[in-house]
Amino acid sequence: MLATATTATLVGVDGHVVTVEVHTSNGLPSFTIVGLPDAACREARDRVRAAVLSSGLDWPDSRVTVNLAPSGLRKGGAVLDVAMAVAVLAVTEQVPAESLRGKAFLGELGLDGAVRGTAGMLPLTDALRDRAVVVASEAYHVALAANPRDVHPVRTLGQLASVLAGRAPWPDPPPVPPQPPPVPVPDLSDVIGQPSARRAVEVAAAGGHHLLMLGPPGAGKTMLARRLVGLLPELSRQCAMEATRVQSAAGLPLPTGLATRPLLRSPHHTATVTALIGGGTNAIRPGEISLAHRGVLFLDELGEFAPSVLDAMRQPLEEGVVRVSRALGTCAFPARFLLVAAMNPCPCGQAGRPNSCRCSDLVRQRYLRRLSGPLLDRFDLRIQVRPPDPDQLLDGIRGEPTAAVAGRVAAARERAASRGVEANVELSGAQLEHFAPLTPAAHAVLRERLRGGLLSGRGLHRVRCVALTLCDLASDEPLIDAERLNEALTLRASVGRLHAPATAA
Amino acid sequence: MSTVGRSDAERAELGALIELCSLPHMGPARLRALLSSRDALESIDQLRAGRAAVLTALRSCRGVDEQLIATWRRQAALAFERAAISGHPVGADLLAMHAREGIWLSVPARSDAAEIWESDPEPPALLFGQGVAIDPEIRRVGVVGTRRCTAYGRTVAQQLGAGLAAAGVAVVSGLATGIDGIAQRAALDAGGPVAGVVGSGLDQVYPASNRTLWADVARRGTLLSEYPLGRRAAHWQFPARNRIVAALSEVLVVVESGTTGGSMYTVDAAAERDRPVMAVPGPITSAASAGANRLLADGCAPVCEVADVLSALDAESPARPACERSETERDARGRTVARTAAAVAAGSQPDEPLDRQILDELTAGPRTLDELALQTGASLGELASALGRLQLSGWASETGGWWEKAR
Repeated sequence: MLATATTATLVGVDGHVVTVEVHTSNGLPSFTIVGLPDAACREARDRVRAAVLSSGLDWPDSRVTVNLAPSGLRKGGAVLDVAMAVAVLAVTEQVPAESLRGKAFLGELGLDGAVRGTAGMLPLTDALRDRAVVVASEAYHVALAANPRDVHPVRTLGQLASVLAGRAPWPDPPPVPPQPPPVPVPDLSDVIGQPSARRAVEVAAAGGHHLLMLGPPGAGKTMLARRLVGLLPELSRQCAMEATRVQSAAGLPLPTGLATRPLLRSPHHTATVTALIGGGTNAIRPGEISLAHRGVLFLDELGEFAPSVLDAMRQPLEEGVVRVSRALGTCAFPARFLLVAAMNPCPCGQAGRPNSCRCSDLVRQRYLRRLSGPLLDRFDLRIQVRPPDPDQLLDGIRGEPTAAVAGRVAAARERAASRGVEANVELSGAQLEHFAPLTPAAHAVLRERLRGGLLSGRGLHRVRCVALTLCDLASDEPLIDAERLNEALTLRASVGRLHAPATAA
Repeated sequence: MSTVGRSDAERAELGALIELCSLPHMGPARLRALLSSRDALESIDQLRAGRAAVLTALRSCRGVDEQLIATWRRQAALAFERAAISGHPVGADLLAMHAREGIWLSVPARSDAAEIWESDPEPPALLFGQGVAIDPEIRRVGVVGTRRCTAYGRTVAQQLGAGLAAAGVAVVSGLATGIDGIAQRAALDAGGPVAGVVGSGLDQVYPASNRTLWADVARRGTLLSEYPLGRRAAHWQFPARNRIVAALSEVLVVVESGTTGGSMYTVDAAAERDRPVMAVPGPITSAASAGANRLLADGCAPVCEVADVLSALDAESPARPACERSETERDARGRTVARTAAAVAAGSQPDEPLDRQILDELTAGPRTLDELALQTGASLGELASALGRLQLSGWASETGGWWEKAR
């Protein structure tokens, strides 16, 4: 006797269709799973058998073999439980075998026969889009976001068996859970004074420019990073889908439907390469840079991260995707994020004015050397953040609120979209030449900078890009004049060298 | 200067001296103790033999213990063994090695520049040199300062180096990071004579970042050291080096210095040798200028332009003007200096009121963009334009988000 059911398993952030074949034969009663199941999947033996029995259904007194095809693919997790159970019910003719056709089953079983959701429901449902997908009630709204042909929520295995046997209709979808009260997004008006930091945060949000904040602890760097997320516009459906897939695969709590707000991820500086980039021994999991996809990755104390960890981010920063290769296989995770980093200019933490801290030259050089030049180059915006002026703190005048700034950011992003990119940071050199011509005065400024060794070829491109974002924020003609260039240059402090290049004597 | 043309007795003495210099942990004070009442050949022979007089003299030095003396005695015995095997006098192989590397030796008391060392309380026993020898006819000014200078200090060191070079005066310094190196680089670039005194063997470049400067000084000026090839930099060798800088300087200029540090050691050494010390005034809020300002308060002459240093140099020895020139030429040169300063200023004199306001603000010390915005009340855009202008015209510079006045 043979029966099959369809389900899916998660590889990285993608679902792969898996066919569960169940065969019963004469012999000593046993239950075997073959086809590269991992530990959680192998434990399904006990869960599935207990769930079938607790649901008041019969377990065959024969030799049961479950094969998971394709057999070359490693299957992980408990999401295959329900498919195995219904295939067993079909092979024992407790439900008709035809009733499984055109359907797919996703869910973990409890010993009492309850059907539960698992991590990765969104990409898994996405892989089964041309079928009617049966999921746990609790996962219904997540599965619906993948836009499948049909989704049926079930609570228990017994309920599912009655529906498949034709004794009951599909249960009604659960009501949309009340939206949790919106998490209070910290408002930019809390930032008092600090005009250059406010400006840099706005430009970073508008143009997707990576931001490096230098300053002592307590200057408000974390505060600024949190408010930066609030400035980002809602994600487009496409972006939200990409972001939610990763978050779902990683098992992060998801809102009802797609995650339309960009996420802020702030890993501690002890993070390993695997934690940041992705990987892992049992399954290849997305790292922090992928969890921050279409959101913000905030690295506090950048100087304390292991240099190898930081350098591993360089390629994903450039390509927006990271390919993690392990013996298990290769996964490509999306990783297009806005990098915001904060650090002290020297290890003593006093981070005082030049020549006022006690760190020796060597110590400061060693501290800055942890950041490779290519990584520092990725930061289009580098600013010095100092604690706000006490008088300003006390006079109670609040800054511009998030709503006002977010409006400008959204307008700037729309202009970027009209150029065919999500944000200006993605523009290539040739596109910049086309979209953002320079005035003769701006040409002169750049020429002098380049000649004076104050700007590199790469820096030139980045500065133009930031200047274009400044134009977008002001809703000006995209014509780069000297003033815009100067502002872009001012927001790009020199870091990593102890001394700025010598000026003409 | 070379071993060629020296008598056999002189060569034997030089060989013994270089052997003594090459002993581990041998410094100027210990050498002086050794050579106080005997010549080098006697010293090394008696050291090997363990004569009481020599050992007593050495034991009186700070930090010399029996273990070190035993090492020295062993090394001395080895030197004699090496000499016996090769059939040459003691130290001949070391002399040959230094000659091969293009390094000349100079016993200060017997060199052309002996007058510099005549009354020196701590003259070096032997100097290793590369490049041209010290020419007593060329006036020498020491330019020293902190290794961690500000943009202001950098600019002043550059102007002093270039200005002194233009006047044909040699810039003497320690080839260190910061003021020392910047002044000498500027002097070299202006084609002037330079003398660099280093605190390690001439092949042990320290700091490594100054390798090019080091090589340029050796090629186009004078590079001096008290230590033989192979001697690594050690912290106690730098103050010893500074006393040579002080001795070689007819006038010592402190550009920027904290209240403690190597430059202050040079100042003390210069005072001990009756060399006039001058200091460049700086903002009283700047830690980098604290030492220089303290010197001014204590009565040192201020340096406001290169001409001040040149006048001090002339006053030091009126019979020998800074360079061969008439009064009118000097006026002309004086005007040239003034004119260049004026030209630089006129070409980029901050016309904009905001630019001047920013410079006023920066005079008090480094500022961030936010602080400037707060103080001047200007918008970020206006500030950015102004700072861009100031940076390109060399008035201001930026490091890690801090803006500094560069002139």
